[in-house]
Amino acid sequence: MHALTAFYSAHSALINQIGVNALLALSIWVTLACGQLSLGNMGFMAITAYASVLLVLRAHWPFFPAVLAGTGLAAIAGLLLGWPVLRLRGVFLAIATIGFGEIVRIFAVNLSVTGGAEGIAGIPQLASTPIIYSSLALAVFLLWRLTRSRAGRAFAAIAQDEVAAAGLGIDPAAYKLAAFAIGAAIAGYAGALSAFSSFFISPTDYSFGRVVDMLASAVVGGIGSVGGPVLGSILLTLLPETLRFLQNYRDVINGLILLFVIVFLPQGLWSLVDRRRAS
Amino acid sequence: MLAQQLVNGLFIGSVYALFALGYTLIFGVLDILNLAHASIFMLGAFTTLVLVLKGVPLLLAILGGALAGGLLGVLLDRVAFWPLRRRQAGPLAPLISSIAVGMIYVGTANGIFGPDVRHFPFDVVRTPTYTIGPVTFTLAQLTIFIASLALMAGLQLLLRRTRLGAAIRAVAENPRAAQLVGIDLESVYAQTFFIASALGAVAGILFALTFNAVSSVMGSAVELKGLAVIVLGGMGSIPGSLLGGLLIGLSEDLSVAYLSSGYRDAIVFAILFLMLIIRPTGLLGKRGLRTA
Amino acid sequence: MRSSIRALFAFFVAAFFAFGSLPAIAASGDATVGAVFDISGAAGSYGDGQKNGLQLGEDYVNKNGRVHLSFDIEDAATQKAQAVNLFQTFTTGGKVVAIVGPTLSSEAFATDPIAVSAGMPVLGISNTANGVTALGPCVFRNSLTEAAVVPHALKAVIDRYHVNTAAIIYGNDDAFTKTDYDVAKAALDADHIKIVSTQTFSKGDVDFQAQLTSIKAANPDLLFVGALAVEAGHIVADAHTLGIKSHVVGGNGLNSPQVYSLSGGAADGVVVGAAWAIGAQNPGNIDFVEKYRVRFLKDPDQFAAQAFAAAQIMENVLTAAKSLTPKDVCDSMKSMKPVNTVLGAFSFTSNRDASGDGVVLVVKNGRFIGF
Repeated sequence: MHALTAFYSAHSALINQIGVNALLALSIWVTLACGQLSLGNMGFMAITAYASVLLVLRAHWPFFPAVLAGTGLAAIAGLLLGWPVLRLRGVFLAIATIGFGEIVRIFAVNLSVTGGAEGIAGIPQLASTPIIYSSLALAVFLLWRLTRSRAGRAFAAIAQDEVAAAGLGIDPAAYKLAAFAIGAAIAGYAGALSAFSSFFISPTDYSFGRVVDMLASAVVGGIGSVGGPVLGSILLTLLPETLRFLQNYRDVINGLILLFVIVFLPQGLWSLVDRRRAS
Repeated sequence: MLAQQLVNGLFIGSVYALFALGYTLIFGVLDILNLAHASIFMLGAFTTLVLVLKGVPLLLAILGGALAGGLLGVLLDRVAFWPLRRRQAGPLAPLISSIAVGMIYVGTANGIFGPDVRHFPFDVVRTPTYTIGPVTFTLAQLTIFIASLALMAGLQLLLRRTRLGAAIRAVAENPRAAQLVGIDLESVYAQTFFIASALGAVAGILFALTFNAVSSVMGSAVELKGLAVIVLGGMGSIPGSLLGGLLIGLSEDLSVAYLSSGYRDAIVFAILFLMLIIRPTGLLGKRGLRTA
Repeated sequence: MRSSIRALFAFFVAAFFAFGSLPAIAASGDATVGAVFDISGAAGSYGDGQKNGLQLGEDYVNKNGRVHLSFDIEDAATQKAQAVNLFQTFTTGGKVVAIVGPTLSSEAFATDPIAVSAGMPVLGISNTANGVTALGPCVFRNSLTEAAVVPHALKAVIDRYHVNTAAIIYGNDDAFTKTDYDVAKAALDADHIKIVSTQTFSKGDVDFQAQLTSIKAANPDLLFVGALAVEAGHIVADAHTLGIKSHVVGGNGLNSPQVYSLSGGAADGVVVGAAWAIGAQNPGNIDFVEKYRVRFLKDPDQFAAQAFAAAQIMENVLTAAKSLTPKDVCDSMKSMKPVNTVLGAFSFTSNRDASGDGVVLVVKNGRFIGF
């Protein structure tokens, strides 16, 4: 027991990062499950993080109402963004959403309420490990239920072939918009947890590289089921810690793993876990 | 001041256009977004720098950089796209495998050259400065502008007037039909990657020579702007990437001059965003890009 | 196929517990001080100089023999999350008595609270943002802030030349360069210099022609550059090409050989307010510069000098400490007498910042000399 508490006190920040990154990977997974590649999730993270931090620090709101209000804001932003862009297919949706994310970041740099480049320091540590992991467990459970529901089957049908899905009486636009808003809300919520567990936020936390990390986690883990993104996040968050000795070559290993998985394991690492369970 | 800003915008815009040309060519032929293109842009510049430092004359070093870029493009196709083509993966997989190869290329450069910004010897890049009326520019800038236009014209000629060009266009139009008339698809893909990547490398070399800076992260300066260029001009359209590049270059300089330098990049992305919503085919694109 | 992946996975898990949970270098001396620098990634060129400077400092201190000191230098890779994890490993590992670093102020805001709650003293050597040392009673820095050096450089130029108008160009997406802007604007306003143009750029930009064309049209007597070395080198080169004749002034970010190596002769006449001068004639500094050149085959920059000074400061602090525990080391830092370092005679202010005004330098024939 003592060893366990000692391990936790030495690694609590890393453990929290894994939980937050898993939520972020799930946020991008939701839209992928519906066949949509949305790469604007760093923008939703920023919206909720800044909104909830400002509500707590400036307006003295309690933690949960502030985070929920910020999450709601991200969901609304998701709906407003999703409505015009969801007509775009594949890479065009990706490009439009990257543009959105960058615009959010540039506004965070230029506005005074966000503290500009100097960011906001002195954020209280309100997102504890139990909060982060119960949120993750809840998200995994709800998303798992979703995949088993009518909506989940509709998502899969749209991802498979949108035209055929429409032929089956599914309304692709409505389901895509729903997936988009859910993804935005999860990304935003995770952004708030990240802000309230790391003392400090600034616009660099929400750059394009962040969403590439989320996408890599989801894909390495596997987008076939809800366990994949979680597995991928654990691996890709631990990896930099173990590869520190490689210094400037670290990205080579990250890239090789990503390439290896996409070429040889199209269903991600989770497919290994699944297959073993089946046999 | 306006005249100077217009000239600045055209110079940087021509480099954006040349970079975006590779993006758009690969998209036009293979229908994939190649996010490793910016890493080839960077490696082309590093190859030329290394050659120049070894005493190779500049023109030969540029050729060497272009050749290295082209070969890296072919390698990229073999490891990242060919296996996915074989199993007919969806559009997401190639996007991610190109990100992966981009990470490998950038990481390799980072490991070899470190995070420092390198530069060319000053006697190689120092060029005379000209002042005509209110406008000041260097010979290097002018050369780069002309070279960019010439390369784009050359590519257009290649596509319109040669057998290879005809084959590339046929594959872009309909790969299965092209195969039926005896075109070797894989050979066309490899040559497309070579040409597109060599052009991307040349863009990187010219960029590095103009600003006299080579670093492993230099690709990120153009990576996302290149997307804005091809969306604005029209995906898959070569005149479109020229027009898009020049317009993005101009919009940057004019927004600094007359609006706010802080929101310069936001304006670029706003243009990209609005273009996608209003006219996803871009200014000069013809392909139907919306889903039915 | 499948087994190889399982093996790979097992390898990473094993590697994590083997490397990740322990500081990589075992303590071998009487006192171990942790160091968290960005040796790779975007800020890698700063962390590299810091690592070199600290290694040289470790040899210097151990040769003096007053205390046996070893630095455990770890790479945070310009990733805030990794800097946080390293701080947590150091504060809970029970091996180190103090931490030097991290490289960036934006990292310090996330890492230093961890050290504060563990009672671990921190010595920042390149954190210049406002409020870093206010994070806790044991957070110190030996880096002079922009607020300390920039007004002096501006004053020196204004006193010597005829200056009525000024323009500012600065990076607005970086805390360091944004502080430059705030400090320079306040100093210019106080001197009743009219600011005729304010332009911004983003980290990593190489093309500054648009901003400088606007500045040229405003024709200022003085151009303040709030930038880090690489961007500053490009700005100086572009300003020269466009024929801008204003007196160029900058802060700590410009105190790097890259300012003239990236801009050729264009950097001549650039005035820099900084914490350290490579040509400072105190014997300690001459010795440091010489040893650095021999070992690393290049000139030290200010990052390396401040890291070396950190070793000199820790030598005195540890010698004077009642015991080698974080608490006593912190107390010893609070009561530290002025120390001779490569930065000159060094002491902390009551707010645990570096005291002093720094130096004002000018580039002449491709090197920094006193202004």
